[in-house]
Amino acid sequence: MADNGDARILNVPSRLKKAASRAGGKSFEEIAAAGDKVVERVSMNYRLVVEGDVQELVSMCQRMRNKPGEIEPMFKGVFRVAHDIKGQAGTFGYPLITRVAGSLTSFIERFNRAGMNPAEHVEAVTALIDVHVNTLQLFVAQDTKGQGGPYEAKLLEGLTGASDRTLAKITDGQA
Amino acid sequence: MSDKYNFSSFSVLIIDDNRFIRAMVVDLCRSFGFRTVMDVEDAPTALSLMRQMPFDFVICDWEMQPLDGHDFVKMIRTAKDSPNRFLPIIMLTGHTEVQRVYEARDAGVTEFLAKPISAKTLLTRFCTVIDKPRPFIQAPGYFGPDRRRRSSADYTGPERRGKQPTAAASNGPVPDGNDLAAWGLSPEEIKSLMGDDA
Repeated sequence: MADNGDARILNVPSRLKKAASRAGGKSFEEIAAAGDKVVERVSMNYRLVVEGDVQELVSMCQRMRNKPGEIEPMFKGVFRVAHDIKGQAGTFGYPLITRVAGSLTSFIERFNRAGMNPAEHVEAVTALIDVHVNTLQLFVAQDTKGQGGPYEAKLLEGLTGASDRTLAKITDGQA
Repeated sequence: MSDKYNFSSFSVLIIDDNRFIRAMVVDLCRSFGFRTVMDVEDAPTALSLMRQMPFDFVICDWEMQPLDGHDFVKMIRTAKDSPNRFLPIIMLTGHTEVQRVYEARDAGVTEFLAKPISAKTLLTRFCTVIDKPRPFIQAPGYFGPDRRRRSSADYTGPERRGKQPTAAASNGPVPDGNDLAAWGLSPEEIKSLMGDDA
């Protein structure tokens, strides 16, 4: 243990290096290749998973509109599901779906950071969630893999613009 | 990086409330050759399990209930009844903002991996933990792996340890360029932490 100003440095012995060097090991590339096969196999089921996630978003958005007492938990739920989609879709070959979900989580984070209450802006918030959900449904239905082209870029640009406009309207008291 | 890796004596605990991603990470770790791969969906269950058996690695998500990954890491590093304060923890998260990297670093994570992930990026994190073990730092307001991921033998400036900004002090814009050095991370390291080495 060494003292270094206000901090103490603890050199903790690690057994990992020695244990990982045992005979019978494989190269990084061999191990990664085995992992790639796992991702490839799991990817085949992902479309069903994301379809279910998008349906959950639709359902939560409807409940936000129809059940005032559930607005806040549903809003949190929308973030949770969108956050999951954002993290997963790119892993399984759908980076555009990740970007759409990321646009939605970004909107919710900015909304929350501004200290706003979804219950006071249900119409504007659910309309924005709808736009994102519609885009997700489109990309899922078309099984859109890869980065897409100019059309997809335009859609993403539109989502960003819609998020900015919605936040601006809410902040200005127009929504 | 070593020539070969043998994971057959290692155990790993995966904590993620999303069943699908958890199952995939379990399968990935099994394909890497881990002896023991266990998974739970929340941090309290993980803590309970960790008190019953030791693990060599933990992989945890950030967004979890009732205890999120950030608080879980802080608890492991600082709680008096922590099962292992020195445990290597890989934070696997859908959060991709640089600010989150700093927050995770200041909580005491060993490695940070932003989703989307690949077999290569996850394996790289394990190999980094194995090949480049960092000393632990006990300082006012921090206990965890050394947050300085680089060292420069040529550095002759003043010693700033103990004065590095904490997440609580870094809510403003993320610094760029040379300012990042004061945070202990270079732009390349940020990119690497975020999984841009896929």
